[in-house]
Amino acid sequence: MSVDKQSSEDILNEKWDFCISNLLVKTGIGLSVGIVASALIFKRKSWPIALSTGFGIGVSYAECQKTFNPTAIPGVKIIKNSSSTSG
Amino acid sequence: MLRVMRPATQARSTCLLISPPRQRILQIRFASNETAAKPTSTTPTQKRKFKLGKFLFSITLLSGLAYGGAVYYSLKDDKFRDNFTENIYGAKQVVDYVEDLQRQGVFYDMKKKVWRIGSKYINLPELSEDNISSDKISEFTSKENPIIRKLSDTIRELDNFMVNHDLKHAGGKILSRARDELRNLSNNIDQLKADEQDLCQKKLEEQNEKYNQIIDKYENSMDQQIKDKEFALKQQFDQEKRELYEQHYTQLNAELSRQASEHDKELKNELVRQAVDMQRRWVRDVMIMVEKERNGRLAKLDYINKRLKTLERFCIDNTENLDASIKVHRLWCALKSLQNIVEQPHRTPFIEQIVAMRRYFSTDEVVSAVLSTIDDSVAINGIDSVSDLSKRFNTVREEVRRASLVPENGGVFSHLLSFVLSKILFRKHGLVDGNDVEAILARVQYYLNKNDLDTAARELNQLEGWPKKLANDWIISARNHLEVKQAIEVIETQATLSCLSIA
Repeated sequence: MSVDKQSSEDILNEKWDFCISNLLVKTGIGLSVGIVASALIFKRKSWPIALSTGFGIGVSYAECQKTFNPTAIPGVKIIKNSSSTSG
Repeated sequence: MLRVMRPATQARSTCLLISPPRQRILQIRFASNETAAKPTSTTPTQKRKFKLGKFLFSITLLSGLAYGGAVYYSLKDDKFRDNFTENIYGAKQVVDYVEDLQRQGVFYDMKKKVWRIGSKYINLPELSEDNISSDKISEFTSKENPIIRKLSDTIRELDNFMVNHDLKHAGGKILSRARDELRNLSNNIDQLKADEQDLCQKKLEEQNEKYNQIIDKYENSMDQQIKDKEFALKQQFDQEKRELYEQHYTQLNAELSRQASEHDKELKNELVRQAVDMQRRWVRDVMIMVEKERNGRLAKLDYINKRLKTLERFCIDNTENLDASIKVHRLWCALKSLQNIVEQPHRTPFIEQIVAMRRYFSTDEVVSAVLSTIDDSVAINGIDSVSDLSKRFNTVREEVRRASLVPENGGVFSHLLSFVLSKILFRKHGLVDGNDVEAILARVQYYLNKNDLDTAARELNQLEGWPKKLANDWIISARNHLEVKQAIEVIETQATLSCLSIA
């Protein structure tokens, strides 16, 4: 059993589930942190909320990208030459 | 013409002074003069006819004469000769040829001939005779000595040269002196030759004598030596003959004795063999007699023994056959149960059957090899039936469609895009050609509809990238199914074979 009683056709579905859940969670966290920060530190301005939410979405996107394509490390390119460079 | 006219006019003007009858006569005369002068004035105006042949001939003649004159002059004058030969074409060869002829005295001969012929008719002065005639010199040319001949040739050339250059008087005396000396020289040489020849002849005769003597001496000694050698050889020959004779005699004796001993041995062997033979016959005869007396009881016992042995063999064979047939029956039962399980509509484990079969058929190579190819995990979980697989394929197909447009290293967005755009792709059905995802899926569906799982699995294996990853499990499952089916087939054939081989 390679993937924990999960058949191969469900791989993508699992990944999507993980992505969407991650997105919701991270966005929520970002939003809350933004609200708190804006309330406490930034004198009730609106931009920290948006910034923090943006951070949350960005982090979730990066993690999603990582699950879909684990070899796409930023700053590294794989050259198809029967020898791969990574890290 | 004008001049002619002037005196006429002058005459006419003067005759006016003379009496009229004389005037008239003078006038008539001058008038006729004038008329006589007129026709000559017309001829100069006529053109002279131009004759080409005559012109060419005269030109050739003049140039030939000029050439000949130049050649003759060049023989006499050296400076002119150099100029001439350098600048005019072909002059050098002509001058050289003429000089050769002169050296050979051709001109001198011709001159003499002409002089002789001419002196018949006219009183010509005699040709100067104080040049050395070539006859006098030619007496030396007949000599064999090549050096003297060369020398005479040179002197003659010198003579000719002097004749041609008119130096006769100056060198005449010197030349005659040379001639005398040449003659002396030749005589001297002849004398020397004769002397030498005599000397040589005498020496040769002496040598001849000496050598003849030596030869005679040697001949005698050689004869003596030959005689001695002959005698020695004859002695040797006699001795060798005697030795050979003795050797041969001893060899013969040895051979004879050896052959005699061998013959003896042979006879003894023969004797022994015959004795053994007779012994055997004797024993057999005794047995027969005893047999006869005991009413052949011995033979009967033997007979019974043999029968017993055959029965034993039969018995053993029978049991073996029974064992084998039991085995085959067992194999068939197990096989049937396995087939039953495999044909179940849903997954059922068949591990027990496999274990049982392994236990029964540990001796059979083919069956045990085949059973070892089936994975334990597969046996424990069972395999999917064809209908199950077809149903599963539907979901697989949808998933594959969704991921069909993802490139090799696609990220989130490429997956998303593929998901969205695949909804608007056309769906294919039936046996279509092509290597794209849709065509492959259509072909797999077609084969599944025909229940051809093997080809369907093969086709699906041709996917690449993400679609293949998604379809991987399905392919593995189909493969297991096919493997187990194949194993069962092999075992079936093996069972049939063993069935037949018993019977």
